[in-house]
Amino acid sequence: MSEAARSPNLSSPEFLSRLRQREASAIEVLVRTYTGQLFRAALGLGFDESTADEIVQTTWSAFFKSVPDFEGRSHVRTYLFGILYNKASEQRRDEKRTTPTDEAAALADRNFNAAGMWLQPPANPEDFAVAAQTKEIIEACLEDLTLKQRTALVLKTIDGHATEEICKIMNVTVTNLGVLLHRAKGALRECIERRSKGDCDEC
Amino acid sequence: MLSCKEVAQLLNSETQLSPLRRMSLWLHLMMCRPCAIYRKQIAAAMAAVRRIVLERRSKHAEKIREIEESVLNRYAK
Repeated sequence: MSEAARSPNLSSPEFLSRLRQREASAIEVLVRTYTGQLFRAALGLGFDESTADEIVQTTWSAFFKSVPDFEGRSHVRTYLFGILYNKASEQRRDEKRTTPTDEAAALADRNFNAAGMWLQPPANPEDFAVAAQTKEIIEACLEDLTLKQRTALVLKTIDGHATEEICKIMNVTVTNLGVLLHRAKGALRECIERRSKGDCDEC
Repeated sequence: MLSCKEVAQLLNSETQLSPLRRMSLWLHLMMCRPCAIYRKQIAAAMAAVRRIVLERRSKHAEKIREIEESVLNRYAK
């Protein structure tokens, strides 16, 4: 069962009021339920262990600061992940790393002509499969995704969050999410294929 | 009739498809070898990503505990 499917009772009005009253046992249940998920999500987004630690801690700080105003209209998990995503975005900005150019996704689009047909069909599946088994290649290609693309990918295809929930977390429409997933997967495939052919600057 | 570009989008975006759409997609994949290969490549890429992400995450129980204790010390005592 995906992590997202567990913990049903933590959004009941009764639990939320215990949280607002800072009841220690309620806080403990919440923190122990979601810290692992939040930390693993941060890792999935590409942060190293100590940065992920920081992000999770600031997420909890922001949560507890705002919990008096939290009305419980969305699930508390959704709210937490929403904060995490914001903190992750801030962290990325602060890191001043070269922002991924979204180039692979754009290249992926150019594989098709105006009629939507393949200009150059996908290459030899065996070479691709070998490249896909190469850890360094996958890691490098993951790093090339924008944070939005990577978040959509991780939340949906790895952690199995529901579409509606991801839309709330990331503040995007269902259509946007579909586009993000398409671009993320297309970019990954494009990147792997180029590296399998030795067809890129960094190879 | 779906174009290959549309097929790629439908496959990747994980949107809910009507039965008619699903049938069109399936028919296209049966008849179009490039798209069938594309689909396999996407699946291989995703399997690899999953493996790597899960592996990266698998060794952090200790760290997670630490964070929990730190947060609880601040907010639950």
